[in-house]
Amino acid sequence: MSRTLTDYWAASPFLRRVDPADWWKPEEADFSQPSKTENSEIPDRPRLLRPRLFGIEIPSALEHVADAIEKSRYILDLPSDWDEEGSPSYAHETWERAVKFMLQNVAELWRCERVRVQAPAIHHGPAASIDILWKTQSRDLLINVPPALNQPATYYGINQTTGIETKGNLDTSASNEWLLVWIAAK
Amino acid sequence: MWLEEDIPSDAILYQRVHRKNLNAEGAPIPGAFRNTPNKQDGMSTDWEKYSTPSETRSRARNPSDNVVIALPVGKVREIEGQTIQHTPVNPGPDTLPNRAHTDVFGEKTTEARLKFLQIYQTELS
Repeated sequence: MSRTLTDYWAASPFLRRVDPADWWKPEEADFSQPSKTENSEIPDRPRLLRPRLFGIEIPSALEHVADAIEKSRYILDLPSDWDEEGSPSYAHETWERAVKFMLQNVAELWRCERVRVQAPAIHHGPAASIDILWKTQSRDLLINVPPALNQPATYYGINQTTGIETKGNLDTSASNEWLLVWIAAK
Repeated sequence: MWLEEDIPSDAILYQRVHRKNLNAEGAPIPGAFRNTPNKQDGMSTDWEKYSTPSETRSRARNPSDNVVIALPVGKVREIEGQTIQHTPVNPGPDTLPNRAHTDVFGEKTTEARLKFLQIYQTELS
């Protein structure tokens, strides 16, 4: 029986046949290490099946955060003067800056510390800004992302039990996981 | 002509909140607490001395699109940067009269808006 070139390739130990449909998928699943999550009851997907949002991998444990982001897309549909009092519409860049900043920090906190924060409420803010609000049993935190890309975000948080406040400016291009650690603390 | 009056700290202010500024549970979002862009740059409210919650709602362009919340004057005054001024709107050719009209002046910062969210109560849903 004559052999074709394809037959030689198929038999080669040095070549691996790849289905073009799989090319878009990231690296293969790694089950060599057990998950160190405190939420061990949340099964994680193999990495090649995890969706991405803004290029950030969304594990199963953070789907609720991705849902909150999807719900906030209504902001982009608000027209100019939506409130009949002269309020402007909202730029896609502002919304993306806000949700990407939040998601990056939430994802990093999960990746490094396996801390899972609850989903925030993302709403339209004053003067074309975006508000991100967390309300837990003991703490409230509001972050406002302005439309001017060179302006920092501002935040204010309060521990309802102790009355201790935290407030200031945030560089949305930098890591700010500490703030999420604060809101997630019991 | 109505004159400005001093508002005591145990009084209540009524504020209309448009349904687009409510969350899925019907509560105001932080963005509901803002200064009106085109007017005196204050947050418009009505003093309970001269208005009921229903009357406050009826002044909206589309009343059924609004809920009414109550803000205790004393607690508003505790929010940094906020001042309350009775600013009655007298009858005129281009204005609807409103003796109860009151402005809450001051920048509505992130901190101020979260504090407003903590002190409001729903009057008419």
